[in-house]
Amino acid sequence: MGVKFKDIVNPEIINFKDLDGRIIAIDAANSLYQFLSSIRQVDGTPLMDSDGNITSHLSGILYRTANIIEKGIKPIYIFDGEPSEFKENTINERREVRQDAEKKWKKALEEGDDKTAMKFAKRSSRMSPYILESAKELLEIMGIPHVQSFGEGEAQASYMVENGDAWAVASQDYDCLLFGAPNVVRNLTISGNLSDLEYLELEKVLKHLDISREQLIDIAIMTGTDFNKGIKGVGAKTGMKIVKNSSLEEYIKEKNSNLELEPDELRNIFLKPNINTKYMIKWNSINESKIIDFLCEKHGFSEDRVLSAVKKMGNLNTTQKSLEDWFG
Amino acid sequence: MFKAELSNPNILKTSFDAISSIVDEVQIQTDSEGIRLDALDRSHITFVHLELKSSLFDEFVCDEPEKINIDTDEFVKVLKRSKSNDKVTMSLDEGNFIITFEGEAKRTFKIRLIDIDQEPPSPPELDHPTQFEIPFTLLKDSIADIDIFSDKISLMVDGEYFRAGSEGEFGDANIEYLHGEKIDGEAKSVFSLEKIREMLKADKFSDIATISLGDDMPLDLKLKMVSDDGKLSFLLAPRIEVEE
Repeated sequence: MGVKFKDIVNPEIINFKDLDGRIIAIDAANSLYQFLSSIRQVDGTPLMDSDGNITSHLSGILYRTANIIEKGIKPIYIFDGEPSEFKENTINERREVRQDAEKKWKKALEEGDDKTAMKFAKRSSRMSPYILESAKELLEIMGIPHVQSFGEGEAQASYMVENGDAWAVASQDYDCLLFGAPNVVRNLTISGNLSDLEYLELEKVLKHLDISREQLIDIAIMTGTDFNKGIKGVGAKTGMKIVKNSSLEEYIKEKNSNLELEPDELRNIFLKPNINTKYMIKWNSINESKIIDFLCEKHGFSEDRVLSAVKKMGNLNTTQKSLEDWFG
Repeated sequence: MFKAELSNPNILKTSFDAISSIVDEVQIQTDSEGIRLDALDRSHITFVHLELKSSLFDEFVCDEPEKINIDTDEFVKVLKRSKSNDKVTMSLDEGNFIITFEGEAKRTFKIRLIDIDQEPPSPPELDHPTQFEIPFTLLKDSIADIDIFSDKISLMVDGEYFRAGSEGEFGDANIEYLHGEKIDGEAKSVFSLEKIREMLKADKFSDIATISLGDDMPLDLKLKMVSDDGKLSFLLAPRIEVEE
């Protein structure tokens, strides 16, 4: 998923304490997918309540959100809107991968091979209206703001950071850089240990590569994005050489290659995304009786564990200010 | 050329114990007046300022201003290897910050200089309504007292008392100190205990701490050497109650 920039972008390793007091716009789809694929039983079966509803994502949202709040972060979850029509290919491909993985998972289960089952179960994770709706319902009860995008959640989150409503976008995908997010944090909602956070500052990334954001977008278009396949044989490093020595248009002409769309159409996906500018951000107190009702009564969570997460969220009652407020 | 010699490593050790827990990288600036450092942690919550005047050093040479960019952890690791009565010399070569300890033997460490693209921050001008002095150990003890019940500490001052307190789920702790200074009005702010603990790692710098407080304002904590040759000061952004 997302653009492949690993070869040219070096994230800085940071600590949770570096994010103390910061508002972070979390790419909800990206996090939910992480929770769904990683929070599973040993044979790959997702967590489920007694009615057979998946609860892996609810578990992820509750515990992970509580943990990052305890560390002083103020989260906002950003949900995807309508997928771009250009994303259809990617969506179809992902569906095929998922269906294939699901078959292999079932087969491994029958054969009693837990390790293989887990491997394919992870790849079979799928978003559904139930997952999205129950995730939003839980966030409401927790008092955590969520924002509905018109299009890509990453674009919306990037806008909110540029607009000063959040400090960074949290996502695993490098696409946020293309959407212009000034700060990006990776690994924030990976389950497991709270460490190994990676941080990218757009300005530094561009300065280090000595290119503009527009050129970074062109590299992405050539190496392939969620919206186009890219040009065969062009990786991030080759892409860098092309944008520095020639241009996307010239290279296409020279190689007699073509993209599925006009370069400008692809560029505009990143440069002029459809943004929801009327959003409200407010953290409310957690509704304790409702969360017990929703998670414990309805979805079979342990009350002790839910209450300990609720306690961690008490950290939202006070906010760590930044000296920026006095530096002017 | 830059060369600065101290009769013992203690002031550097105690300063950088605190500095390294706040920032990973710093720029030390030197000129004929001495050395200074201004740094802001990545989350922009704590600002630290260190000033060591040339008069503090047994020998101090600095022909032209230098900027020494180093990783604070590396410096602390080196300083930890010193003995408390070692003579310490700091100098520079192409690409290295050189620290020499002279005791029984002469030991030399070279720390690679790093690139820092940002200019060091300059502190904001803050106009606190109150300022008073308290013994450093009292502050350090208060932190340990509060730590029993809470991870936040409220600092208050009025005409008579300086108070530190906390309210936790399992109990409360309160410290009262008759400050004996002339203070009009009162002030109160709440801070992260962890952040104050980081600053107080510099526990051998001065016996007296000068505190400036306001309502929901940053804490200004100054440590001054008796000889007035050195100053270590901090600004810490407060935590504030969220209005429902």
